[in-house]
Amino acid sequence: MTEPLPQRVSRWLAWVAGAVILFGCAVPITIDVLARYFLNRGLVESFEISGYGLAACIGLGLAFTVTTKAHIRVDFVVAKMPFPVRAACDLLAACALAVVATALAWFAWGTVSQSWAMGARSMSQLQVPIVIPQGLWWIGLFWFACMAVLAPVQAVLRLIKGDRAGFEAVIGSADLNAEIDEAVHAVEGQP
Amino acid sequence: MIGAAFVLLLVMLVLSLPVAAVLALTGYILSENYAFFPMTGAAGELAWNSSEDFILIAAPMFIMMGELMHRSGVSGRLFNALTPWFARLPGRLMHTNIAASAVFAATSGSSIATAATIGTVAIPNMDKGGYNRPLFLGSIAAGGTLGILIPPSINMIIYAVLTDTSVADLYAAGFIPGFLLATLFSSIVLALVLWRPHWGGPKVVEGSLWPARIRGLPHLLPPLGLFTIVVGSIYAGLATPTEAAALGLIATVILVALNGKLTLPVLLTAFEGTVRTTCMIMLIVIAAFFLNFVMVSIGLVGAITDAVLSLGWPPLGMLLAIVVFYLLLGCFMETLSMMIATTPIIVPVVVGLGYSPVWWGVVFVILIEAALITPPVGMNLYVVQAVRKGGGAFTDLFKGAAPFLVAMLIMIGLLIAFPQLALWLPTIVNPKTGG
Repeated sequence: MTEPLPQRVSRWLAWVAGAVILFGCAVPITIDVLARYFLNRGLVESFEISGYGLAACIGLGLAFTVTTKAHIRVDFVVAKMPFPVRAACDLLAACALAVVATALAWFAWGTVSQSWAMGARSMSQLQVPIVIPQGLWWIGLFWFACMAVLAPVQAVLRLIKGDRAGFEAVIGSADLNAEIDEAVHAVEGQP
Repeated sequence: MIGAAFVLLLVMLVLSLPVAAVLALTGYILSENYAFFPMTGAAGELAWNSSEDFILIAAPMFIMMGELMHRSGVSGRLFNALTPWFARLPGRLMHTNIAASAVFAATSGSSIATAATIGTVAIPNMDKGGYNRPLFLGSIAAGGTLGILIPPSINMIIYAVLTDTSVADLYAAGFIPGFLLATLFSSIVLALVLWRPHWGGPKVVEGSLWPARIRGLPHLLPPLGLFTIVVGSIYAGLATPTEAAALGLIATVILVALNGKLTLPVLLTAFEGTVRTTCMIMLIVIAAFFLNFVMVSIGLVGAITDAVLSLGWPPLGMLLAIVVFYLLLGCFMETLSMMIATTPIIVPVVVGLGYSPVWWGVVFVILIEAALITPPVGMNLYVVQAVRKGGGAFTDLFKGAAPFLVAMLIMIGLLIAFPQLALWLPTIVNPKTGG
């Protein structure tokens, strides 16, 4: 199974995002809870770190939602339409997501650059320059926007070549069966 | 203004635009047309603040906990351990389905994961035991929905953040209705099997069940232990709900490792599943925060609440109308996105009618459970149908789910008649803010 590079990068980023939740949120919070109980004081400022962890996870993981078609659409009406109507709706949906993703990256950039200009630091003992977590978050959002714009472009190119299946694979309705099979397989798959 | 907003939302939804995009675009269009100054200036700040919200961190950790539990092999042993306890009750394994779902739900915040997990271990026994298929399958689909009512619940975390209520109060409020609903499910199975004895299959058990019952007890420890860590730490005052989620996730990782299932592929698949769900939800949450910000700024939320209240309906009538609205909407819309999209509008109305937001949170979650088992878009029905390898008519699922839908409606009725079912426990665990 060889994935195209953009998809593969998105998957790697999702792994990183998942690792951030486990090692950047759950582990420090657990350390702090135990330390508070046994030593009567927190050790690692987990309250602040885990917030940055969630932001990083969201930023880095969003591109993966595009490549795996995770976004919820109310598509039971559209799914019954003939292919041209369905394709038009799929394309419109992909473009709407691209617009929103681009807008999000754009407005997020405004927030990041303002933090940079003011040299903002977090109001805690860590005094983290806010630009560091926000920058990481923004890099992810930027990649998300790139992937969201790339998807409809790629789909149209495939449609021009007459590749309907390829078109649907990129931006068609999420394949419910595949998704459920995955969930079921997860339970059974283990020896 | 109200009409324009609703038409916009509806048209974009029917065109099958992603829910997150629908909310964000509606917010943008409303702000361009009705706001005195552009609201988009706040979008970056809003997105950042919701991205690092401390309460929301609990969501991905609970999701990851479910992803790992799902693959841990704990569920099969749990199911086998519970089986002898119900072997003499008419309807036997169907009660096991419900009980196992309730126990598994107590460690997982997801209904779909619960249904898939219990379904996989239960369904191979369906034809062997000679059960009525629709009822058996229905008990799994409905049992699975308990995942979001019995704490920990991912839906309740997001509801808490959107409505500024306490997660601890919501969890406490969901506890009694959750187990009561499980009992109602079981009672319905019992009643149906007494009415039609052959639905429960022939009696096969002989001899004493106590040795098997006692032998199985150790297998109940892992799920109950996790439940104690997650929920106990909150009410013992050791941890906030987010911290409890972290403790639960670490304990789950240790549990999976002890079972010898913690491999790199398992971990990476769990990461992928977690990130995919979390980011999908969070984009909707960010969009909903933006839309809500715009709607409050231009006075739309107030206008809707006023318009509804000025109808002059009695609160109970209005509440029933809202319940019916959700039962209908739930047939067609994915449940979590339905909850996130409508909470900012409905909750002010419900509170305006004089109901407690914590109480409504519980009723709301039961309505979402109903949505999970109502066709055509009832996710749990599809999950159970997929688990059932040999195929068979999908209509079995509709028929089988119907009695449990009735149980949910009875539960909502009970909550309306006796709000204390939900509100009593929060006042005990948290006397200051409870209820």
